[in-house]
Amino acid sequence: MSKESLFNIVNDKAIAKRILLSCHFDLTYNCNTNCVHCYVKKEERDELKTSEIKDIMDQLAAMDTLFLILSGGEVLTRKDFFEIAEYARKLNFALRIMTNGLLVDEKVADKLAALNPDLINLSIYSTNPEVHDGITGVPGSLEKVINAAELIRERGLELRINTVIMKQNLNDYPQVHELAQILGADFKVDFQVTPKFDGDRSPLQFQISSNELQEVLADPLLELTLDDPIEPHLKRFANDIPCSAAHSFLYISPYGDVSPCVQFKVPCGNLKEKSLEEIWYHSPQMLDISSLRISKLPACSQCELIDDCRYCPGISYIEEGDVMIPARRTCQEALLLNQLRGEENG
Amino acid sequence: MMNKYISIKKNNIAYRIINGEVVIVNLKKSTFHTLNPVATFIWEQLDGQATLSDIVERLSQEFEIDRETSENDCVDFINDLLNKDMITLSSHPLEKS
Repeated sequence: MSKESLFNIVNDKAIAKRILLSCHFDLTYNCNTNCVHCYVKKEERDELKTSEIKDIMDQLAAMDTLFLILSGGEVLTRKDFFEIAEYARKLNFALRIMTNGLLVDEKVADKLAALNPDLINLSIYSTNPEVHDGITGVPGSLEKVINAAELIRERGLELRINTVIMKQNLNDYPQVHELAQILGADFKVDFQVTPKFDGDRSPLQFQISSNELQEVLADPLLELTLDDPIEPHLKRFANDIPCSAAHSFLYISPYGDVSPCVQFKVPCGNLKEKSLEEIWYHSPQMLDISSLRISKLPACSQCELIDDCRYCPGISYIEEGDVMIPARRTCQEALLLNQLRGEENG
Repeated sequence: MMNKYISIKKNNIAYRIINGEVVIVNLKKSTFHTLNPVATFIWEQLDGQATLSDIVERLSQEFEIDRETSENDCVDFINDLLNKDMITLSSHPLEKS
């Protein structure tokens, strides 16, 4: 049985018992790039200290969390990153590390390898430096991220190259896919661009049009590269639930704020004030979201496109201000996928 | 082999006992495993303080099975874990950290 199939079985069991199997923990919102589509909005608050992060990891381990995604911002801008990551490994977490790769040299790659992470994730938007560097806002960033990818693979680590398809790099993903194949890396694409945390919709200007989306979805190259089972959008609508957020997954911000998912930032409590267990089991917001069912959504429950739908309560919350209303973009995507499937079957 | 102390290679794996079942990610081979109740019981004994012979005896008592069946189950499982590079055998008990 594949790793993904086994994960789905374990995750189904975790969901049934509401066990917090996976956590996305942003360690910092500081970053050394200035990506045009970034949704992060830094606040004038202190980020968690090393000791506070270790305490939260103790709590996660006690709650049986196995998969820990460390992200940001750029995690390697934290001077204590390896102290934190080594502590996490001592607690037997399976680590997934999201980095932009700019600070990965031989020495850092060795330290990453010593952690034995489950996966390292790098974003490459194009193999054309003008396009990639234009998106990150950092000249020379493509060269550095490719170097990081090579250093990571030379050490035998599992690598995923992620690409967000936007207007600027619409035609570039086949070359990024080819690069991933040469490197022996996994390849995933996404075309979701979301507003910033504070509601600023400026990143949406880079979102591809519906015609462009149709072309992308029709590309057989992208089949099976859209979803990651470890992250919330798995096995859609199994047991009538939209995703594993608030069921077996949650998000922690660098300020200690807890929400169901990074894309679903409903404040459920802060870990400087409450324990993780208290928030997970007793936060009214968390429990409210965990009670969300597809069959309770007025529009979606009756929709004939449901089998092709990638409804995300977080996107609905950001775009429509209400989790009960499907985002227009989601419906558009479902229609396109349904048409494509019809064409394939017909 | 029966007198060897067995311990988990924690650097190579991530694991949790979730709902009474061991879930393991083999980080060296990028594989994912879940263990049945017998294997979970054996796994919980792999603290470097018990020999394989001790574990065979404990399994026999816990599941009320004869020693031969217990030994076969233990040896098969331990060999499987050795092949997957998840454990080490030692002539001495592991020093407690």
